[in-house]
Amino acid sequence: MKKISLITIFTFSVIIQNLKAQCDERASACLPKLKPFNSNGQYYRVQLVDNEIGKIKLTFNSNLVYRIASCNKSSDGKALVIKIFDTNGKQVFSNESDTGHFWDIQFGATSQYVIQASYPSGHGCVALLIGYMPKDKYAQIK
Amino acid sequence: MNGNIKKMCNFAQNFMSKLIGLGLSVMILISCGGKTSQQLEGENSTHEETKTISPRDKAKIEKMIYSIPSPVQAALLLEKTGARFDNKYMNDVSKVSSYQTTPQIALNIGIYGADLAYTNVYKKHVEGLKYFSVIQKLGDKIGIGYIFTPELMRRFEANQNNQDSLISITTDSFTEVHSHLKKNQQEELIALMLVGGWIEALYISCQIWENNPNKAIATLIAEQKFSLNDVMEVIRRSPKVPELDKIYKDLKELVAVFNQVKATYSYEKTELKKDRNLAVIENQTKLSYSNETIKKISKIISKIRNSIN
Repeated sequence: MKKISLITIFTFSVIIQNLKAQCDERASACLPKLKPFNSNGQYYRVQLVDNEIGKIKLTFNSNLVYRIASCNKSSDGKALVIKIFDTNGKQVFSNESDTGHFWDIQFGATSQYVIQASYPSGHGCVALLIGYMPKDKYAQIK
Repeated sequence: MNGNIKKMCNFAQNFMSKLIGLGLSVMILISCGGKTSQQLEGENSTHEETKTISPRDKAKIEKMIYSIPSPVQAALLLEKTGARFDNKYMNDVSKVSSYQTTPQIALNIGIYGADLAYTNVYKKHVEGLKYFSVIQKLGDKIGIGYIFTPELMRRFEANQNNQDSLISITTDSFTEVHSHLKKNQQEELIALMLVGGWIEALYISCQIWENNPNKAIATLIAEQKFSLNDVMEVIRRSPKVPELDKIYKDLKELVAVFNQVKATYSYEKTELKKDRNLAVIENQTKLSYSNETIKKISKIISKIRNSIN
């Protein structure tokens, strides 16, 4: 029994280490995806298993346009579903119907929001980068 | 017989995968410092038809991460107000040798990082190089100096007149720093750097406002009400270090003053411009505050900043 417990714990640790390593490896690969936006300097990563969602609470500024870059897919190849909720819990954005593309996001006024990231099925590493650029510059590049 | 053995094997496999799944959930949740539920702050709203968090999402286990605005973002917004550059507000590079402990170093990499961002945005290349150099020096002491390579320094020098490139070099480097510390589970150093950068950026904005009290800068300062909540959460969830404990206590005074900044929020609709992959979220936030409140914020942030640099 003791042996089985030790083997189980060992197996868990190996799996966790592997998952974490996967998560770490994928983060820096996101940077080119964000261009020409500038990263906000933070690397958001969380390992999701079934029935888990990752959330990032942050303030979006009205003078900037934002891009959320994800470099991951779930264990069964599904793309990440991104939803944005305001502080009242109202959903203001979702890429659920079109996960194949990136979305740039701009806000009428500065306020706090929650970005929710999850996989429709399966599990995997969520590694997100958030980039921004001034609105006037964005108008020039588009 | 073979069929029975197969059934038993399938049962055993299912059972083990569920057991491993359960174990993983618990262990990863513990290792990531996850939280099973999170109350969002509510503000007044005049919403039209929108979806709310679905029961399916609510039933899921949430892992909340708090994010602090980048000092580069703060500097860009400051520049948009028409504020002029003034190097007297930045932390003196000659102080670099006085930062000896790891928390002091991390905190001041954040502070110098905000100063570097300030020089990048205003294309003050000579000053920028000095700040880049001290960050590299401090980074060496805590194992992240390798990110600020001589090659990166050369790129920095070569792009001295290109604001976009300077900002990109700085933000990419700090993203790598963040990634490195995350990988090494040095969450307290991440918190110290982020908080140091946020304090310095707010300090610079306040100093500029003191000398030129215009409405645009005051609004920029008042908007930090939102970020301050996230700063407090980042510290609260970080591994305990005395430096962060002290800052947390000091920032409570700032929270009390920022509570005098009133915010009302309303959401109208989201317009999807599919040809540009752009979502425009039409919302309104009205902030009301007095100059007296901004003065108090300025006084407190100066005190905090001067106690940590």
